Order: sequence, then structure tokens, then C-alpha cells
Amino acid sequence: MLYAIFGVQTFLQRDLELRNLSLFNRRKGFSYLFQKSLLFPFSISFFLSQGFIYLFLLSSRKSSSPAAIMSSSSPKMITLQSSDGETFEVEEAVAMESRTIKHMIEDDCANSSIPIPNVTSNTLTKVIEYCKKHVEAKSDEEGLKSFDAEFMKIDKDTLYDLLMASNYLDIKSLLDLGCQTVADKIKGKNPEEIRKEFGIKNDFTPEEEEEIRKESPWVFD
Amino acid sequence: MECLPVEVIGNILSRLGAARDVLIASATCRKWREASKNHLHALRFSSNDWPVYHDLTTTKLEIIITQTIFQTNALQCLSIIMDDVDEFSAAPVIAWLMYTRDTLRQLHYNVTTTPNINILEKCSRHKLEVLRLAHNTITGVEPTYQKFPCLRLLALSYVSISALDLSLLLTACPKIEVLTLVSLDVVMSDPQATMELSSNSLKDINVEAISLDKFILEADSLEKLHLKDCTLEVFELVCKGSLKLLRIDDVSVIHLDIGESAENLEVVDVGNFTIMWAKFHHMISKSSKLRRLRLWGVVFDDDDEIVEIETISACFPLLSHLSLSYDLREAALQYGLQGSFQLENIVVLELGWTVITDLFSHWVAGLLERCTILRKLVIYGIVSETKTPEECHALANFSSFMIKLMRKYPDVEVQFIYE
Repeated sequence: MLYAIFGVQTFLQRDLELRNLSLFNRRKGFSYLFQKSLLFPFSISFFLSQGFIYLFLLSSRKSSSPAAIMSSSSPKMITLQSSDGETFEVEEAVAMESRTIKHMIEDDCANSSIPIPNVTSNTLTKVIEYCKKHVEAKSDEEGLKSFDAEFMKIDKDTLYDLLMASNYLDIKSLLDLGCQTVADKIKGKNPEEIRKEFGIKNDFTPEEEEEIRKESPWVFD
Repeated sequence: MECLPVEVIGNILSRLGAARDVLIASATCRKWREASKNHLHALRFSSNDWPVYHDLTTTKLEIIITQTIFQTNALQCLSIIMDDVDEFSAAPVIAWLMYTRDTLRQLHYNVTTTPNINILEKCSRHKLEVLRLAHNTITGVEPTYQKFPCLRLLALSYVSISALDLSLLLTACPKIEVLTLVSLDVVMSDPQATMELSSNSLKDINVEAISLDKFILEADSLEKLHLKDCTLEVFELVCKGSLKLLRIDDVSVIHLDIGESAENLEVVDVGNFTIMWAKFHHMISKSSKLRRLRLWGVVFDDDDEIVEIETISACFPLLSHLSLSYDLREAALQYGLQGSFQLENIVVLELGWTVITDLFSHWVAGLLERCTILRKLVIYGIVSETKTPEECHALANFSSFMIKLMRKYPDVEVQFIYE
């Protein structure tokens, strides 16, 4: 469309120039100047109208793009879908706490809802609750500490699900918090107690167990 | 628990930290053992972790630490904090440092090494971010080839180092942000004990228990300065006005100069210090952004000097925390309440006495009247062990006065701290 306008304009201009040349050939002097002076405002007005048409097209194109939504006051919402089909709408800033989701958004794969196949809706609810709080109260260190302590008062299965989810979604602070909670539970226990607490199966052969004991006798005496 | 990836287990074991706990946990199953070998990034040997460490000989400890470190692969943080070990011999220490050289990011080591080794040379330099050393000697710093490009935090306690070496070390750390010096034994080559340190990136410096003749610090980005328990003749700070926090505690310095760098000061905390008020006032009067001011146990050079709180309120309109303790003078308090002024932004007021008198009670009342949005009042008092009847009487009077006074200010939270 633009090129068409430009083409028409140059054609007209050239036409006028040619006409001008012929005028020039016929009679010089005052009338020539008069013709030339008419050209000037004519081409100016053409340029201006072309400019207005261009701007109008640009603005209409802009308003139809999703990027325009960002410039308005409401924040962009991202839809997340858990493994059992439930959808959650979260603000973009909250979703970006997860580096996995952040990369998806940056690579522009996040236009419709983002499926999170290995996280159930219960776990995803907890994850979103954590991310929301950490985005809202970013500067309040004391408040966040007490929130984290309360947040981690959960049963073991939820804790493992949170660990898996935060690992998949790459949310470092939640992963570190979960790991620290597990570490605090392990402290002071012997191997058998740890296995019982966390449901770990002992897959060592008796020879391997003997080897471990011999490697660090100071630990097991 | 079965499906957690081995890296996450490594993260859990790293947070467990204490070497013995890690080894015990690694004996549970194959995945955990693999995690402790290939994915463990923090290991700590601390005398607080296991009481049996005290009963082991030094040689045995060296063997244990060597064996454990050599079982790991990608250690990033190593802490050896053994308070009751006299010394480790050089060979195992060199082995630990060289084994972890490629990956180590944080080193915390507080045991004397005999014979002395050049720890800076042996330890990992390219990735080191945090170095905390104690009870060792640092000599022969060569900034041309010994560079610490990632070092952010350097803490030296009870370390013997020459002033020249310390300044060279700082130049070898282009990204250093926090420097802590505690009880340094500064070896001087010339009779005048001068230390000159210079760093463009330094943000926070903490100097404790140092005695020097002259200490000059050039730090353009410095934000926090903390001097404690030092004996200096001259302290000079050259900085470009970025200083935000100034804390001086129990320092004896004849000439203190923080230059023209006071515009951004937000916290000033001076304790147990003798100053000339005029000079100090000149130093901080341009700090209109000051939020917290604490003058505790401050003795003015000039006995008759009285500081008007009106000056304080005029110079620092944004002040929100004010802490003043007074020493009993002739008849008036050091901090006068002349003039009508309002302390408009004060939210927390801390007032202390060493000897309780009626003057203090009236002073508290006067200050409370002038605070418009006060939320918390803390009263600090020193109660002597042997209480004379006059003292008990004075304390009782003070208590009744306070109860009557606080009825007028129901929104203010009051706390009493007596030592």
C-alpha cells in the first residue's frame, strides 16, 4: 500500500516535471516560475497525506497486536495447566519466578496455556502461593522468613512433590528451601533411621556395605 | 523420594554440611552415595558438629579430612573450623587446597598451619568468591600473577600480614565488596605504622581491634564503615559521597576524617567515643538524609558543651530513629531541649541512663512531647549491683513517673532494658 502511494506520487511528480519541462520549452520566465511554485505545495501536500495514511495504518496494526495489551494498566496473565487438567491464571511476574516458564515466555511459546505435565494441581497451587508471596513482599526479609517457616510445615509427600516441581520449574529459592527442610530432618539420624523416615530402599550388597564401613571407619564406630 | 534426581540429593547433602552427617546419609542407598561423591558442593569440618572431634589427635583429624575431601569431586565450599586444634601440618593442608583448586568458591579455614604455607598461592583463585582466614600468616603477595577475579568477601582474623601485602592483596581483588579485618597483627617495616588501602569496588568495611598510627582508606563506592575497638591516631576516608552507614564503637582516634562524603549518610551510630561536638557536627551536618542517629556513651571533649536537640532536628529532618544516652553532668543534661521544635518523623526513640535522676524523667517527658508520630520508646538503664536506698528510691520514682507519663501516649509501645 505504501509502495503504491509512493509509486503514484513519483509518477505524478515526474509527470509534472515533464510537463514543466515542456512549459519551460514553450515559454520561460515568470509563467515558468509560477508553474514551479504550484508544484511545491502540491508535492508537500502529497507527502503529508502519505504520512498520515502511513501513521493511521501503523496505529491500527499496533492496536490489534497482543503487545498493546502490555502497555495498558492491567498486568499480563499467564495460564498454567497442571497434569490433571486444572488451569491457573497467574500474573506474568509471578510466573517468571520459574526459570523454565521464563524461558518459555521469552522464546514466545507461551501464548496459550502452558502445560506442566509432571505437577499436580495441589502442588501447583502451593508453588503459585510461594511465588506470589515472594514477588509481593520482595523487600521484607523478616516477613519472608516467617512465611517460609510456616510454608514448610507440610507432610513429607507434599514436600517431595514440591521438590520435584521446583526442580522441574527451576525455582531456585523454593528448591533450596525444600532441600534445607529435608536436610534438617536428616540431621542426627543413622542410616537405618534415614531410610525409614524417607522410605528409601537399601540397594547395597553386603560387600558394598562392608566397603563403605571400611572407607570411613571413624563415622560408623 | 525415589524419583528425586541425584542433583537434588546433592543439594540436600550440601545443606547438611557437616562431614560426618553427609557420610552417614550417603550410606543409605546407591543414589545417595553417588550424590555424595559427584554432586556434593559444600563440606564442613567444624568442632561444633561432633563432640568426638575433641578426642581425636591432630594426625587422625588430618587423615579424616583428607580422606573425606578426596572422596568428593566438585566441592565448592570448604569449611575447616577447628577451634581446639593447635595446628595442622603443611602437607595435608596443601593437599586439600590443591585437590579442590579447580572448583572451590568458598574457603573458610581457621587453623594455624606449620610450617607456614602461602595459602593464597595454593588455593583456588579463579573461582574463589569468599575467603575467610584466621590464625595464619600471609606473606609475599604478588598481584601480578596472583589475582582473585571473583573474590567478593575477604575476612581476616588474627592474621599476621604486612600493611603493604594487605594493600597489594586488595588491588588483586577487583570485585571485592566486603572486607572484614579483626585483630590483625600488622607487621610494619617502617617505624610509623601506616596502612593505606585502596579499592574501587569496596562497599563494606569492618575493622576490629586494630592499632595503627595512620589508616588511610580510599574507597569510592564505600557504603558501610564500621570501626570497633581500634586505637588509631589518624583515620582518613577518601570516598565520593556514597557512604551510607557509619558505625564507631569504642574507638580511640585523635583525628577522624570522613571527608566531604556525608551527603548520603543514612545511619550514624557512635558509641563510647570522645568527640568534639563542633567538629563532629561539621562532619555530619550535611547528611540531610540521615534516618538513624545513635549517640551512646559519647563523651564531649569540652565539659561545658551542651548539644541542643533542636540542632539535631534541624539538620536531619528525615530522622526516624534516635538513640541518646546521657552521662550525668553538673546540673544539666548533655542534650538540651531549648527551643520549640518538633521531631516530626521519629518513630523509635531509645533513651538511656547510667545514673538515674529526676532530670532524666523530665528529659524523657520533654522529648516525648515533641515527637508527633512516635511508635516505640525503649529505656535503657544500668542498675548497679549494690543498691543504695537513694538509688532504689530514685528508681521507684522513675517508675511511677513513667506510668503517669505513658498514660498520655497510649499508642506508644514502651520497653525497659536494664543491665
